[in-house]
Amino acid sequence: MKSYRFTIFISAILGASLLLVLTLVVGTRSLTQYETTRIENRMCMEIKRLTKNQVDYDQSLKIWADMTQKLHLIDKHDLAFTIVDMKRENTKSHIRTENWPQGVSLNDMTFNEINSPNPSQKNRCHIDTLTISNDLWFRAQLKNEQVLAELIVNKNSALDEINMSLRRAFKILIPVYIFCSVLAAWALTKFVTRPLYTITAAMNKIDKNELHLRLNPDREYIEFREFIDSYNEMLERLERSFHQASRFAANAAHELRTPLTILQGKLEKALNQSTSNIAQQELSQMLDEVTRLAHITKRLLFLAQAESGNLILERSEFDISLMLEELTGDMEMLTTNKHIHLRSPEHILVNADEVLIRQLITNLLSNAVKYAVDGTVIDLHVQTSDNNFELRITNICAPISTDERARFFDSFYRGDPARTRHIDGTGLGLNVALEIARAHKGSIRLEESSQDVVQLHLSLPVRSTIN
Amino acid sequence: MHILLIEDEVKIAEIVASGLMERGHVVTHLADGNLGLAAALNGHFDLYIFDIMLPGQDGLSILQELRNARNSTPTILLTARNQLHDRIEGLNLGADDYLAKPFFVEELDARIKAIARRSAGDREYVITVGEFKLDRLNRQAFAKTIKIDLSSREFNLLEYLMRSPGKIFTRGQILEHVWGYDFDPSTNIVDVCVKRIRDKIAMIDSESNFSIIEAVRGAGYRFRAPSGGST
Repeated sequence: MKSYRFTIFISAILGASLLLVLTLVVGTRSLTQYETTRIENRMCMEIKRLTKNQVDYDQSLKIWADMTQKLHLIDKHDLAFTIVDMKRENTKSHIRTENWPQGVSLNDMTFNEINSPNPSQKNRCHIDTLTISNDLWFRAQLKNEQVLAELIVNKNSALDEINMSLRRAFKILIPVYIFCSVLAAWALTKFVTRPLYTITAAMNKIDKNELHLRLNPDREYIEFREFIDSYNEMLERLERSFHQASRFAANAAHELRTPLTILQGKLEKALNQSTSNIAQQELSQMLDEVTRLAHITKRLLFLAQAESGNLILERSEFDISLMLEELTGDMEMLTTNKHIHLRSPEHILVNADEVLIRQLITNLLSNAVKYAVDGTVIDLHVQTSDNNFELRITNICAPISTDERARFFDSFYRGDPARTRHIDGTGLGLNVALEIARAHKGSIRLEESSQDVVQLHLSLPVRSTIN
Repeated sequence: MHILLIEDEVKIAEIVASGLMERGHVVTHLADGNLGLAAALNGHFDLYIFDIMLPGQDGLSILQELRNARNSTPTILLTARNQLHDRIEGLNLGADDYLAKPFFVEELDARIKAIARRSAGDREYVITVGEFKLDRLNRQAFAKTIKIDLSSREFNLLEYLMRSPGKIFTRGQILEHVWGYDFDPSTNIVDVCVKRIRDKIAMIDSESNFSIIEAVRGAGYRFRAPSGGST
């Protein structure tokens, strides 16, 4: 299943990771750059010190160690310098550290600016890099009238410290960053999906009894307004067809019941007035058929009414135990070879629509009686708590396939026609029962069981007390 | 009884009016709600029968106006609509009974009689037909002074038949009266119930060679009138 939330979350994390990599690259670069500049400045400062005073060999050793420390180098061999006295051209005046690399000659240097007329250019520190046996070294050079000095520092060793600190910092920063980015991604996801959830919640509030309600787009983000507008338009259409449906239910009721009343009345009158046995028989049978037709019509209209949401409950407190006993008695009259076993506490008072509940239980019971196998027991088991009434009706029947179970509550579906042809009924009883349970905010479920057992579980969230 | 019937469906009104007249009532019929209300306010009737859906004022508002005018004449409402809350609203407004279409005129008459009995104070606790006696107060039945143990349904069925001895009642009429109209008419519950009553009577009165509840083949049942004679 695709989740919008998850997609946003992952995108946010990916974005944050990209940002992290970029930051690391740029950050390391600029920090190294900054450190390089610092080292170069330092080298210039140091080289100026070298040229300021006359330095002998012993002093040079001290300076060597001192410089190593000042440039934060661990090994003094990563630093080397040489000083040439320009006035005395003999080699004795050369002071150079013992590690001064072979082949690096001062003659490499070009100091054009020394001869330049601008005096500020004199005494200027010149910085560059050079490669000595595959290693990069910083080089600072300074030349004036008296002296020429050159200082070289191994680049890798000089930058060692900053690299170390960076690595140490990353060890802490990266997990913190990841944690923060996950947190931020989560918050972002929440923020982005929040309007969806608020709109969904608002949509859920609009049920079939409140179809006139609309969502208010004014306070939403502009992107969602269009969405809300189309939803409202859809509601508009829904409301219209819904009202048509309920009008149909009401009109159909009137249109069907009037001719039925006339037909039934005329037949009843004719039956009352007839003296011939044959006529009486004929009329009586016709009357029976009209009664059946009226019964089916009543059920269909009830379903139409329930489905259009026009079912209004008239709740009252009544003794459902007595009702169950009475209906069980009725059902026992209908069957000679099936037994009904009622297990129920006495005098349970429930708060529900008595007329409808009577209809509901009658339908469930007649269903059980119709389909139960001869010689078996139909079991009725009642359980109640303060806010719930539960009835389980169990009967043994001819095996029902999984397919048929799935269609158990469909209108006019009465199971395998070959098997049930001899059983009377309109196939609407269960639907009517279901609608009545729903109107009470309850449910009827077909419980899992073996193929030859039907257990219907009625649950009504109604206040019930045992008196 | 003088009954005011307000019903706009002419054919239904004819059937109801003629059926009630056959049963000894006087019926005034009006097809319009406004005219009906005027007639109800000005005339003297023992009972009103109003359809709920009417041109002019509807049945419920007529009833409301009458009750507001302190008119407490018993009223039965008829409706072709499917709405249960019409029934509830009607009863709350002070209707005495309610019938949903289609209904049997026989059942309407039974309701009228029941209302009449109630408003007369209902002193008819005991119904006696021949050797049979029903004590409605204690809901007990007697055959030749021997008590018959009947269930509530059986008692109601017997009472319904015994109120009009000799008259044929169809299964549909009996079902509607005893079980109410929500019971599936395709069942044979009326026959079973009649058989049970017969069996119970036979156990007590084994001498009688005919049944007190007579099956009229194919048509229904009737309580044998005493003139039919016990020997």
